[in-house]
Amino acid sequence: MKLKLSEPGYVVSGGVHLLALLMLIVTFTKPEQFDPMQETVPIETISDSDFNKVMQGDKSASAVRPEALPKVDKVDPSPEATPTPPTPDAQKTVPTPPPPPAPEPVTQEQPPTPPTPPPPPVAETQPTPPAPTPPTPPSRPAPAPAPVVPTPPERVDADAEPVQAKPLPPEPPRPPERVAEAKPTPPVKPHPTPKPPKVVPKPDQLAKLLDQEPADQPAEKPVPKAPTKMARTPAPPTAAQTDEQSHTFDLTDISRLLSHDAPAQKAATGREQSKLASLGSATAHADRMAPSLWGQLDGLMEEQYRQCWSYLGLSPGQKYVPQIRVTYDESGGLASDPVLVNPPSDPTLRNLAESALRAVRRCNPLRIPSQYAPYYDEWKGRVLRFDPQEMAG
Amino acid sequence: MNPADAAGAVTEVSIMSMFWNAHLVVKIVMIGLLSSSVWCWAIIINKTMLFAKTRKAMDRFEQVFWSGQSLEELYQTSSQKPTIGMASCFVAAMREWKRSFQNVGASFMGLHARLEKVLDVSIAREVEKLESGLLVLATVASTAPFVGLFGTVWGIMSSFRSIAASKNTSLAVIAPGLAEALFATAIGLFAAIPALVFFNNLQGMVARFQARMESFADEFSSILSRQIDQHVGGERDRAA
Repeated sequence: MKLKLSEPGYVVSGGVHLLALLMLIVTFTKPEQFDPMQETVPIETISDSDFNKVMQGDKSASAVRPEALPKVDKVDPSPEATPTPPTPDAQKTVPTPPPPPAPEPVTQEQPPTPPTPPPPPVAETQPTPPAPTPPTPPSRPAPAPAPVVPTPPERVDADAEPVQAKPLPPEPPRPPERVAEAKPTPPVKPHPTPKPPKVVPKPDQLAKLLDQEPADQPAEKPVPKAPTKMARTPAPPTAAQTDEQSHTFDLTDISRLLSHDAPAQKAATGREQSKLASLGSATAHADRMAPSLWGQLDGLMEEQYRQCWSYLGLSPGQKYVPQIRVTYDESGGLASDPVLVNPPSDPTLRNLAESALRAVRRCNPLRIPSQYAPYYDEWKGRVLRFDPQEMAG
Repeated sequence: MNPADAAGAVTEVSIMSMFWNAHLVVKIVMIGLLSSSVWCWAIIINKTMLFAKTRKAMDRFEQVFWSGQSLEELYQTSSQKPTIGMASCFVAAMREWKRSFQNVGASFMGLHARLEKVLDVSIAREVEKLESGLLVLATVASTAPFVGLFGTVWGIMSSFRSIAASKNTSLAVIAPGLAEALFATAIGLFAAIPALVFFNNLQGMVARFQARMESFADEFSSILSRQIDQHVGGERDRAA
């Protein structure tokens, strides 16, 4: 089409379009970016009981195993055939290890053994120490006090020693035995580290050991313990000997100075060795309190409170059962002040409520057996009902 | 276009890249729509100017026509220059009138009918001149959205084919393809909307012009027929 001055439409339109395109290109170069959206975080709620069932895993474990395994240091020589659970998906309970031992009993346990025996057994025991330290006697004629021990003849004694020591080899079971004996009562663990032993001794083994215990204990305990100890560790027992040893300290002999006792913490045994506890498991949870345990605990508490409660009788028409919310700490003491849940509207009943509160306070350190310690989370908070009729009956 | 290639430069979706990355069909659609938009606007501008000029000319002509100036004189001045609107009707009618009177023996029988025809024809011609190009606007207004939609559908189709080929459905990969496909619809609407608006507007103006010219033609033909009757009566008188 011819461009005419009278019809400038094409030129004008083309120009305007070009302009519009240019503007578009300029303005559209940088598209506006959306604000980065916050990612939604899925939230899972866990209930209190779920939380209590959580097991502590090993942080250094790398993977979650399908089934939770306790830490096992060495293979149990007599593994027990455990029936496989009928349903693999069902949640298994894994026994809770006993709580870490309280530190005080340890200090009580350990020192007594060395100091107590000395006076009588000195005579008996004195032959032993030289055995480990033969080079010393010649160098020194008489170490200062040495009331009982003439050094030279010890050679002979040392020779005799093996004879005496011979019965020992059969005895090695003893140290572990001792440990095993001590085991049922968790506090005995001499190891102060908070790490709880991973394997609870099996009941039948315990029973065996307990049978042996009465036989061994009365006669042998003071004596054999000392010899074994001394045969292996020349260091501690009598004042005289310690004195002597202090003079004969020898670096080359340091291995003798080190404890040859079997480590107090026994290796945890199990069917197969695993250095790491599982990081966790989808198919297992921590142990829960059995109903029978609940029943026992209820009975225990009822009995103790019954003794503490001096209640006042109610007049026949009245019906009121004071309920008291109690929080215990792990030893059974009150963790917080008991709270009356249902204060009576009738002032005459206040006496009853007060008496119940008094009873709770009087029974303050409640005696709760240590077997309940692992389930502390389950019984720490309770509501006690003080029913006058039940108590009367 | 391959979304996987575009994924690297997703953030850069300018108009130019949208155009160059588009499929050939989409490109053609875009270019066609853009040129049709240019055409439409050219027509709109031209028509608007033409209509303004026509209205002015009509107003002036009517003023002169009803001012009592002699028709002969008016014809002399009007026929010298190109005329538009009523003036051309007037000139055409006058020319026919004059032609009928130039040869002496011409009969007046049917002169009125001829004048009517001439006026009609000239009006039709004028209206056609005014209306020319408006059809383009109508066509663009009605088809541009569809053409743009076609481009979009084609672009989306090819971009989905690319998704299927690259097996990547990330939105960042799909987005450029969809954007450039939708660009075609945007251009289509950009062309169609003003075309439709101005088509209706200009069409209405043309109708008004036509009505004005027809009323003028009626008046003029009545004037002429009066003249004819006078002429015939005069001749009859002379003859009688």
